[in-house]
Amino acid sequence: MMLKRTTCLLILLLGVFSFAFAGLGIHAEAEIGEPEGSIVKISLTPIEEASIYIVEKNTGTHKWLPVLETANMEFETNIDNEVATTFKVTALDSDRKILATAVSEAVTTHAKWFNHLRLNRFIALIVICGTILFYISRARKNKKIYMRPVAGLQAFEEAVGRATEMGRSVLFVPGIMDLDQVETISGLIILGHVSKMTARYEADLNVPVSRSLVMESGRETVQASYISEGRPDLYSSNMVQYYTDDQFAFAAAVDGVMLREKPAAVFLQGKFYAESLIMAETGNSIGAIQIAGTGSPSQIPFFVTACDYTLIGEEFFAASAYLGDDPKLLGSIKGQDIVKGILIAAIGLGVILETFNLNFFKNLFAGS
Amino acid sequence: MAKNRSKAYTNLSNNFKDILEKFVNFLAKLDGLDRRIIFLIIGLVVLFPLLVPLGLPIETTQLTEDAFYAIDELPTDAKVLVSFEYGPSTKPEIHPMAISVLRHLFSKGNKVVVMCLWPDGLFMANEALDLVANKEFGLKYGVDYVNLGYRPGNEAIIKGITKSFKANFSIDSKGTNITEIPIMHDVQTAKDVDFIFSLSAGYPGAIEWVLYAGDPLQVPVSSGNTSIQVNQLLPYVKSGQMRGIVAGMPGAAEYETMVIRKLEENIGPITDHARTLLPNFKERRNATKFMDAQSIAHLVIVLFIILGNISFLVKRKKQKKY
Amino acid sequence: MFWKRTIPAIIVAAVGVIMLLSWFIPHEPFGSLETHATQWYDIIASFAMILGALNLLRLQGNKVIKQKKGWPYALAAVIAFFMTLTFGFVVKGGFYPNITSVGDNPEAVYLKIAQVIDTDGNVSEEDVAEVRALYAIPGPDGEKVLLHKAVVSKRMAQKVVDELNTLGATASVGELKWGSHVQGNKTYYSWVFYSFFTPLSATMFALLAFFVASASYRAFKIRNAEATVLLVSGILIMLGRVPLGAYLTAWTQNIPWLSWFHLPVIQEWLYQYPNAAGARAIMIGIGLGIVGTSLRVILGIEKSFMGGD
Repeated sequence: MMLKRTTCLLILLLGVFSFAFAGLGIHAEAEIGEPEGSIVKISLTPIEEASIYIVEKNTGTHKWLPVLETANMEFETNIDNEVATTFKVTALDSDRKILATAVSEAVTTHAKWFNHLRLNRFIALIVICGTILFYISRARKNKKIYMRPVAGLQAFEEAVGRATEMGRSVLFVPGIMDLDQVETISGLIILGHVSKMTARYEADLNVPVSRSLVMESGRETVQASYISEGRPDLYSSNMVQYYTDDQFAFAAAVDGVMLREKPAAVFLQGKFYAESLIMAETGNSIGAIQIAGTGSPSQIPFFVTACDYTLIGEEFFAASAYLGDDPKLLGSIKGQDIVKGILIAAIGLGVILETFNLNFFKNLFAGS
Repeated sequence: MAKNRSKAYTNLSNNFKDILEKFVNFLAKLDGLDRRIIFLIIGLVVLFPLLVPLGLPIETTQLTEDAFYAIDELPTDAKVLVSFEYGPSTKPEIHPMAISVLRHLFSKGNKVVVMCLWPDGLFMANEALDLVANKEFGLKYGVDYVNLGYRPGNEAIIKGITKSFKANFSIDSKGTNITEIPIMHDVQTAKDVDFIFSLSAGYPGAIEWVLYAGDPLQVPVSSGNTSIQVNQLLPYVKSGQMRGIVAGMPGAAEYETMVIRKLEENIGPITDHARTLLPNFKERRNATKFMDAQSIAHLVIVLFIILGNISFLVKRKKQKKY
Repeated sequence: MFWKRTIPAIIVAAVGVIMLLSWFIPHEPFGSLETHATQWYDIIASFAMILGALNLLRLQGNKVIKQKKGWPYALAAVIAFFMTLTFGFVVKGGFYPNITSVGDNPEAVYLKIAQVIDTDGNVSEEDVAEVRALYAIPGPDGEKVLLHKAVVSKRMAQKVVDELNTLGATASVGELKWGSHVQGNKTYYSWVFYSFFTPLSATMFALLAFFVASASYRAFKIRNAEATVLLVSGILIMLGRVPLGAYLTAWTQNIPWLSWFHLPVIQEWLYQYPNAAGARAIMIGIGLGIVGTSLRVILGIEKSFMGGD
């Protein structure tokens, strides 16, 4: 019994003394729960009189790289994955005199092959894409799909026809953004359909663009449409012209084209920002029939006010399916509608459960 | 005599009918009013309050209050990332809020890291920092604030700084190596800042900050935007992904008012130097000054809409009649 | 056909699927693919700008040569193009007096600095005091950065340096480095930015105020019940957003049961509830539209933007 007590006392004293005389220390540990790896938790063992600690890292190149100066004893830092990294801490006093240094053991972080924090989004992706793909494959088997009439889309042919009758041109603006925006792609797809119409009706087409890549892509699109309609002779690369990347300079250029050439039909189809109303109002002032379409929610009110027809949000993305005759495109739209139905049901269920303070359903959709 | 009187009444009645008809015709014609007349009237009514300020009181709204208090509640040693994503076109709307937000942060003693995702944002940032950090507060560059400048790459830059500032901004806007800037010693990634404020007029802007930095790193984000962007941002505010919005010129005026009120009523932490700047803040209230003009312009637009509707109804009634 | 249609379609499909999946795979090489892809895109787009610039010159040059309608505007565009190009790549400006010591007669030096900064020539005692206060702040390298904002050309900077040295200060001509000249103040590039680009951009944006008025006058009509709801809510928001609305209905706040009719309160409610609900619905629709379009592009159903059918 005595021996046991003495041993305990000795261990306790050893612990106390070891803490009291412990020098500067640094411990680095990889954050295991982090899917992207690269995060290291650093904890410092402080020493008296030190007012600031300089932490450096070494990736095996014998060169210490600065990490940070800190007074905190615990912090996180990023390192490159799969690279053994050692950390060094230097304690300085208030005069920035070095008091002590310590080096940690090498630590290596690894990125995972699947980000488990995004599992819910992965499931959502499978459900959304799976549903759309299912309806595309069903459409391939010639299942008849009904699409409700959209006034704006029905007016496309009428607008081009009107321009032809009046002997004036058709102006098409595929937004002001580059090809990395889906709205621009969608605008160019619609341009493909409109240019087919202008080829059929032999109407003049003018496509001002604000990005060089869109100019190249637009020329390809228009050329292909004219070839497919059997009128390559009517195509000219001058139909698609680049003006400037700048938002308002481009708006001024388009306004200039509108006022000089007085097109009878104006299509504003793509991603727009504050220039939307400037263009649409100028188009209105020259008496052109205007059909707008955009995926920019904040510009929809402007287009609705100033244009004859506006394709709102998803109508704009569905335009291609409506204007074309490919059943696969219609199938994808039906798939989208089914997904929308699922979302509406989920929102309804979520509202009911949240009303009764049951949060598990909402939490299924949370993530980083 | 009675016959004459009756005739006079008939004439008077006919005259009145003529005038009424002319008036009705005039109203019907107003439907197609030349827009240049509207432009002229709008121009004049905007100009008038700028020359003769009305001094209408500014009342704060919840969206601006949420943004203000989110910043106000930050500890005094907090580091805030302010990103400039606007250019000269939207400067009248967003620049006053940039100045107010910087005044607010510096008056609490917060450190500010500035960066730009728009090339012209750099000029705006330089201008705002020169006024507030340099001239008004006399702060030390590199210690109290830093301007990292512009980097191309849009949201890729935001994603990049969630992993490393150094990899994306090796030097600041003055060409100084980022490792030599004291304020950046503790700011290695966007996770090391306590708050992100995006001054944005479009893409890339507030939404990208929420999606690529705020949500993944759980760093609170707020934003100053043009009025028209609010529609698109409100869902993010309602879901708690953004802490309020300073919306357009009215939002900027509200923020200005709240910063002044904070100093006047001595609410929360305020540095001594900031107290001395109160008269200066009161004098330079750009957004508040412009709100008079915006008030009158809105009123005139509303009057135009009412007039347009009267004209529309009169015209419709006339068409039905025939 | 194979090279122009099939190969690009295969690239689109492969890249699309890889990019989509890489969002769920943090491990390299997928983890940083999005960042790299964005940078590749930026590089391609930067080179494509040369195509755009050449097209712009051809378009505007043709107008000038053939003296088409509005050719003077085209000439202005060509001149502006070359001017900006020159100030970006050939002549930079950005020279400034680098003052290391104010010498024995600091007040005279402060006055001189204030005169250089105040280009209108009216230097007050307040301006000098401001300079005096500011001059105590060194730049990141210890230099006095104040005059960065005041001088552009080397000759102008040298002239100021000579004058300052005559007054007893120690000054030399400093200059901004190539590259940082597009980010700094008082370079020729910044002169183009502040003197041309800023007012022209602001003018275009300001047109919105006029266009909003004319569009509202024309379009906001009581055609049917829906249009009336839109009209009334539009008016309430327009008035509620500005101080005038608050001022006109301030009296409602004194009566408890009427306080809800205070215009800013109505505006805020419309903004935060019906408007946010509508915006959400549209955004969900747009999100689905983007997913649908992207899938069609990845699957090759939609390839007209690449010149396909």
